[in-house]
Amino acid sequence: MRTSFLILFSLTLFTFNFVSCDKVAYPYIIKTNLDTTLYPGNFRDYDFPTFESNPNTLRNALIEDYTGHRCTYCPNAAIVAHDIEEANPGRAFVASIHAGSSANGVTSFQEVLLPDYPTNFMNDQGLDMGATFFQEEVGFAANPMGNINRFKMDALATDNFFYTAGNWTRITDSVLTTTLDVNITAKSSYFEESHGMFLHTNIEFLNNLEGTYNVVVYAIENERYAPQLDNGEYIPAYKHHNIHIGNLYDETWGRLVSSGSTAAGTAIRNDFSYKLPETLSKENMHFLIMVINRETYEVIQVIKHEL
Amino acid sequence: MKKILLTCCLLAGVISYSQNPMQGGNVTGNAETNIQYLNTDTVIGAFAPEEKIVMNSYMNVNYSLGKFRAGVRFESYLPSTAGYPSFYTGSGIGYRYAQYAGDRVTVTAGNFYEQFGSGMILRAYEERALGLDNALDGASIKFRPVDGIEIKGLIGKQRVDFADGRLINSEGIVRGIDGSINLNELIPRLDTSDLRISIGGSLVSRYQSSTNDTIILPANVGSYGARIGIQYKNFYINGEYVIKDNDPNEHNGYIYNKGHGALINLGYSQKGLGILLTAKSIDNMSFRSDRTFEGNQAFINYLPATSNNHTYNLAGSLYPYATNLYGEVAYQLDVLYKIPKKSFIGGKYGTDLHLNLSVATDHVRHTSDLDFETNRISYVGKPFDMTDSLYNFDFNIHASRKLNKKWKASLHYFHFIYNNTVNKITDHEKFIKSEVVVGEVLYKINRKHSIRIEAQALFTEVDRGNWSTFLIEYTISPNWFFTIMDQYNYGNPDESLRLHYLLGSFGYTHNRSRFMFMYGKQRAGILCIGGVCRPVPATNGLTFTFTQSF
Repeated sequence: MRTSFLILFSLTLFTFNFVSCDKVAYPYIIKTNLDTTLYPGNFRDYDFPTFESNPNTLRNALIEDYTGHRCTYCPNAAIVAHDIEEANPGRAFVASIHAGSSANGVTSFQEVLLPDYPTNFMNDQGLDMGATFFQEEVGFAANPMGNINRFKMDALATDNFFYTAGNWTRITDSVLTTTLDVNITAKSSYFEESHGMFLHTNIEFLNNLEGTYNVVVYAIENERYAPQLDNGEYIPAYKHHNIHIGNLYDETWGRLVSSGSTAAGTAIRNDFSYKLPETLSKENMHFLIMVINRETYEVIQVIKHEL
Repeated sequence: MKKILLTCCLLAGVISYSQNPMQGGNVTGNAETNIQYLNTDTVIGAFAPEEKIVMNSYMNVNYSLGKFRAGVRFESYLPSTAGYPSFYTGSGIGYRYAQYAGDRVTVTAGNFYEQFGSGMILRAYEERALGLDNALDGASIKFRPVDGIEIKGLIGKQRVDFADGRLINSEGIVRGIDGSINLNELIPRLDTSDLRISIGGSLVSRYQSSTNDTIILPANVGSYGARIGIQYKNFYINGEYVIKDNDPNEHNGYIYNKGHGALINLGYSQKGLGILLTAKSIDNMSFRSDRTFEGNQAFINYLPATSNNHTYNLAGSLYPYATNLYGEVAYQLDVLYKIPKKSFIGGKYGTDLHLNLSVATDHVRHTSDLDFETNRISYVGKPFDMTDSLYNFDFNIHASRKLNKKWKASLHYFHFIYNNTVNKITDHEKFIKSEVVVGEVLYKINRKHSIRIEAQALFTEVDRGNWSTFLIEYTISPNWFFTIMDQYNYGNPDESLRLHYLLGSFGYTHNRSRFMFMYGKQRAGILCIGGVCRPVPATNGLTFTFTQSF
């Protein structure tokens, strides 16, 4: 009787002790949208970076190349995009977006077709952009087509900002000379243990602006060898460049930076976290960070950020 | 066939067992009704409510049948009497329970009161005069597996409100377990020993969900403690030490400090002499079943007072000391001595002396090497780490003697230093020093008739100045008493407030019924019981009290 009682009592005490109290060592709830689990250790020890004013005065160019691995003429456009990038180091950046001109952003050019085209290059944000631009009739009629900062060249078409590759160079040249309205600075921390990273951006408004502005971050895979139809020829190990693999936080149009009237001198910080795909190393990735006008889609500024 | 017969026999046995005790069922209980007819008296600050008549009424009804008990308490506040907590409204059942009390096991469902150890970790109790009732509502089990060991376990919500006749329980859930071992009962060969030892331990936890979006509030807050009692011949010592883990709440400003409570009693007693030294240290030990509550509501535990509960009204209700819930270090010495009868000093019947000294101070808050911005720990407190910041000082000495068969007299002296900045009860800043002198005589006219006279004077140079009280009471045993009392604030610095508070009362007792009427003025004051206090407003009017037990 005594033994069984003592065992019962000890078990009760043991159980009770474990449920009776929540010891809170760090009471403050961290106000962050970062995925703190990516940080190896106590997130409270993480040092957020500080930003100084960015002296840059030049507007950069983003070449969005809407492509597909079964699109036979797409490699030609890719070459044009690559050449522009080469010709404007640090000023022009390419995002190869595998999406087509249809209501859902998918055409046969992007679809997987076994056994020759097993790679699915599509992602939700890329398809969403493709579908949106198709439905909003901004000139996205086929692959390959693309845009430079979603910039409208009045001389070509009033409401369109999608053009064939033959127009990309001169549009890029034009964009690179337009006035810079915002500057973007970015810093990041990569954590080997979690294969994750924190990205911090500082957006400075250089001029008074009206409208709604968002910050969008593309995750870009530098290169991958995979099949591609190239001018009628099946290339089993074609070198794909600058593959758009998605947007951070799965946000097609990013997150709000400012709306209404924004005064020159306004600086706004944003923090992003991202877990890199298991199959990718940080050396084979970079990020394109851009500020867009949410109403016109125009990319106001874009920078490339490597880990 | 055998199984059918066996079942029939068992059923018959059960029926006969369950029917017999029905004849012995017993109903007991008591009732109490307080009715006030209140007038507005702006001079003394008394205000009549719109209803003019207010009432608190209670009736406990208990039914017992063998080892089974059940009961309810009906309560009415229509509306509640002057100064009573305003959240008591309406009529309804405020307490109900069912209980089985076996030889080794007692199980209770519904409402129940309970105390672990000294109460510093858990005390669910009712103090009706204060409007304090923190009964638990849930289930409780007491188990005595062998002689000398008792285990208590409970889970329940706590009564925090009585609105429109409806019992309202706390949001938080209280869980507790307590064990006590009496070694002398447990070990037969120690049964006759002069050394008596008992030990015990408790764990209490409160669960309350958290919705705060700034800080992480612990949903489960734990408190645990141990106690020991040792007695050897005329000496005894008992002590309890409890710890409360991080319990951010409204009262402590949502800090994450640990709390502690330590209570030690050291005593000696022999015929004609009793000495008791009490030492207490508490810090951040206010533990409630709802972290958002303040005042006297929702207390899971009880922080004992370390000063005498004075019964003479000038000593007990003008500057009474309440336990400082934030923390204090306190000591108290009680010496009771009876000067032997038929001695030169003691007189024919002997003389009772009682000396009481208590002091309470603030405790040290160590603040070095803390990182409040990270962990919200605002200081570290250590047991009995006192400062020279005085909270309360109370010295009182009493002498009472039976002079002859007709006369009995007593003299009382009190000296108080009250820190009104820490426990603010009047407008005066800082310390209030006061002295009270009381003389009382009782004269037995004959076997049934007696007269008692009480004269009190309070002297202070601050606040409302000097007071006096004169009381005369005539008793006709066992049924009647008549009292007239006058309190006079003759030393008030504001001459217009040098008022008399005249109060007359009489009562009649018949068997288990007692009626009492009071009419007159009562000054505003503080009512403290066991270190827990509530303000009592000034009143002018008629009060009727009725009590009945059955």
